[in-house]
Parts: sequence; C-alpha cells; structure tokens
Amino acid sequence: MSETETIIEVKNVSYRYNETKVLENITLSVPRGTFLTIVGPNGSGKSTLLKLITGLLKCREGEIRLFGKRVEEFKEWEKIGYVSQKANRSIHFPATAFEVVRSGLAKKTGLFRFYPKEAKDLVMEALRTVDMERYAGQNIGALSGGEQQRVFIARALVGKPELLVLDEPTAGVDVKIVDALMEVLKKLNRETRLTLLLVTHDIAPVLPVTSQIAYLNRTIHFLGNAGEFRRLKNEDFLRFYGLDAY
Amino acid sequence: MISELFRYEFLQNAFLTGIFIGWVAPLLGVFIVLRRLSLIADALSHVTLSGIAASLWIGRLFPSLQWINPLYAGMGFAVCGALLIEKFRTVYKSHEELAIPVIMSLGIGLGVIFISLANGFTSDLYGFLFGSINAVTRFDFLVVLLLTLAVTAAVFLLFKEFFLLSFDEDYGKTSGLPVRALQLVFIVLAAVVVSVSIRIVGVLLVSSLMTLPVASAMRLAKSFRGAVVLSVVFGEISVIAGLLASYYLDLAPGGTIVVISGILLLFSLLNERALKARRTVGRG
Repeated sequence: MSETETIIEVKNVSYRYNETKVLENITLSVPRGTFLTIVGPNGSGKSTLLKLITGLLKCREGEIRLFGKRVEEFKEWEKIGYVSQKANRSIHFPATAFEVVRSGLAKKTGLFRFYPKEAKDLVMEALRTVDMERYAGQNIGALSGGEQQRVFIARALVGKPELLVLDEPTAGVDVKIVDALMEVLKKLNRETRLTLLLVTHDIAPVLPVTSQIAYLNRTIHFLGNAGEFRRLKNEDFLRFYGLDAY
Repeated sequence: MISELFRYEFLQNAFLTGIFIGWVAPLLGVFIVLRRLSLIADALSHVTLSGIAASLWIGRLFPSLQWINPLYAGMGFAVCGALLIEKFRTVYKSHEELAIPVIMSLGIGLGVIFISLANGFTSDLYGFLFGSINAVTRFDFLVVLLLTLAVTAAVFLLFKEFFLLSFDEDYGKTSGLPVRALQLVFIVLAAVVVSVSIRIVGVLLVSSLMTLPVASAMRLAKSFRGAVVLSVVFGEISVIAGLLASYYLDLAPGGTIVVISGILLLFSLLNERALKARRTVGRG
C-alpha cells in the first residue's frame, strides 16, 4: 500500500443526458490519504461525477481509474465505502441501526454465506467510530437525520474501505449536527489515513476539515487546498457561475 | 375437525398446503412490500390466470392433454411474466414502475381471450379465481412442499442480499453485488410463490396473503428479523384460523383467510395507537 498511490484518476471525462452536457472535460486525481471535496451549485454535475466514479453510470467519454484499474474492469468494490444522497430521505423501514450497518458486509461475506461471527464486533466498532454505539438496537426510522447519516457512514466503514465516498452527507441534517459530522470525517481522514471524496453544495462546514477542494460547475473551475479556496474573490465565483459578462 | 383431519386425505392436503403457503407467501412478501413492489403479486397472479385459462382451452381442444394441471401452466406463464417485468424495467429505466402495469394488463388481456376460447367461466376457472383448497391432491401438496422448501432455502441463502436490495438498491450496486442477477432470482421466486398460493386464496386474493401479514408486522416490528418472523406468524394465524373458521362456518376458505388477515392488521394498528397514547400519557 503506497502512500503516493493514486486512488481515483479522472481523465478528460465528459457526460451528457440526452442532448444536455452536464460534465465537460473533467480531469482530477486523488492520491491516498486525501480529503477531496467537490463543491458546486445544484445541477452542476457533482452527483453525476460521483455516479461515474462509483460505476452507477457508464463512462462514455474519457477515462476513470480506481486503484489503478479502469472503472469498467474494477472488481474490488469492497475497497470503497459509499454514502448515498438517498440516505437522507425519511426512512420507514423495519430495521435496526445494527442491521443496516451489518448490511455493509454483505459483499465481503459473499453470496450464499451467512455473516461471520466477527460481524457483530465489526458492526459495533463502526458504530463506535461515529459515536452511535448506544443506538445499535434502535429502529433506523426513529433516529434523527444526523443520526441516520452517521449510521450510513458506519455502514460504509464496516467493511474497512480504503476510500469513502459521500454524496451530499449534510443535506437534510440539522445545522448543529453538521459540524459534529464533519469532525467525524476529519478524524477518519487524519487518524486512519482514509481517503475521502465528498460532494456537497454547502461549502462552509467543509472548509475547516477538507484538504483539497474542487469547484465544479459543468467543468472544474478551481482545484486547490482550502486556504487557496478562501482567497478566491467574488469575481472568481461570478466567473464560475458564468455571470462575469454581466 | 382434528378427528376428520386424521381420517380424510383431502383435509390433510388442504391443511398442510395451507400451512406451507402461510409460511412462504409472507416470507417473500416482506421483501416485496419493502421494495414497494406490492402490485407485482397482482400482476403475476393475473398472468398466472392467463396460463390457467390457456391450459383449460388446450385441454378442451386436445382432451388427451387434460391431465396437465392448469396451475402448472399458470406457473410457467407467471415465470415468463416475471422475466418480462425484469426486461421492461431495463427498457424503461427512468420509469421502472411501468413494467408492472404493462405486464398486468397483458396478463388480463390474454386471460380474457383464453377464458372466452375455453368456453367462458367453468367451475374449474371459478376455483382458481377464488381458491379451491379442497381440490388439493396429494401430488399438489408434494409440489407445494417442494417449492416451499426451495423458496425458503433461496431466501435464507440470499437473505443479506435481498435485505440490501430492499433497503438501498444503489448501495447494493456500488458495493459490487450482482444486482441484476439477484433481481431476476427474486422475481422468479415471487412468480413461483404467487402461483402456488393461488391454490388456496385464488387469483383475486393472492396478493393479500403476501401483503396483509407484512403490513401488520411492519406496525409492530422494530427490526428486520422481527418483521420477517411476525409476518410469517401472522400469515400462519390467518391461514390456520381461516381454514378452521371456513370449515365450521361453511365459508369460502380464501375469503375467510384474507378477512382474518385484515382483522389482524386492524389489531396491530389499534395496538400501535394504544402504545402511542400510553407514551403520550406517560410524558404528560
């Protein structure tokens, strides 16, 4: 496991839904241990880029590599933990937080096999990481938005991934909870050197914790660290939004 | 009834078949309801009906083929219908829910044509529409037993994958599960369960045996395992109590089973309201 290994490599990727081009010539690379946040307004193509990276959408133009392998040929999905945007919806499902987190081990356990004995310890450890151990037996629908989100992060972590991908993890979460959630992500990145890729339209809570920021609005307008991002001027943002001509 | 149960083979067949269906229909029903596919049971039961009607028509045309049990032809149609639903879901990716009404309409359309060709509503067809548990033969019972064992084994061996598909399909895809293959297995299992359940509750009521016990369980269960156990318990209570009540009160077994499922649902809703009221009083 090399420290300089590139975990995600996106080269000249474009994507269109029918006639509408939502991504244009995207190029970026994420070395191991990086906490990269992709920010941008609604409809800027952030979630599309994430779906291309996680294989939910087929990459037709350009190339995406995960752990050095083309995404089309990539098989080791257990190396990636994914927290989807959908997870933020209200959930009426008869399942406990424990059962939800344990389902993160399904692929690793293999088809036609029951969860191994150590699954319980792994689930409790993942819940402890996000400070949700005491809610293990609670129904997932009875938890608040922020608590549910922590459970979904625990599910993504339970298989000990090398890359954690989060799609709008703060959407629908109480403002007070967002900072705590960001602290959890920061701790994971700093203490375990877990590589993180986060997509959000809410920049403020991410700035203190992320190591790299990419500003996306159909194409990447900015790629640098949080300090460089803070130094951007209003005119730069107008340019990103395509409003500089006004 | 107990003494008659030991004496008459037809009663044994009916009772044991009912117990197996009371187990397997809600067992798969949990996943169907939680995947918001409740209509699939209706669609597949109507496709099964067209298979049954086709078999009755063929039996009329070629009397030498009358030995074929129409339910098995119905099962074949249901499996084909299930595969077509899966195919349609991939064709209409952004409107996946269209697949179910499309196949349901085709099932009804074909069913109406075959019924008219098979000389309209015969007593055989009436039995399949509303259930005919007393007509279950020892062979039918053995087929139901075999299919129940096969479906149960498949559900237990793929339990964690089916849970993930029901709870968060996108997560299943990103974690590298063979989602398409699993969906195919799931829908074929649903087709098999729907067609065997038709024997006791009939085409028109089959979806209720897969959904009502689950609806009751969902109001009470805190965990997924709890929901599965309670669904099966409610399914068994409905079938056993329904068969006993229909025997002593001379009622239609299928309808009685469904009404008892409905009563159980009412109790679970009332129980939930009572619990909520008690909690409110406790806080006050």
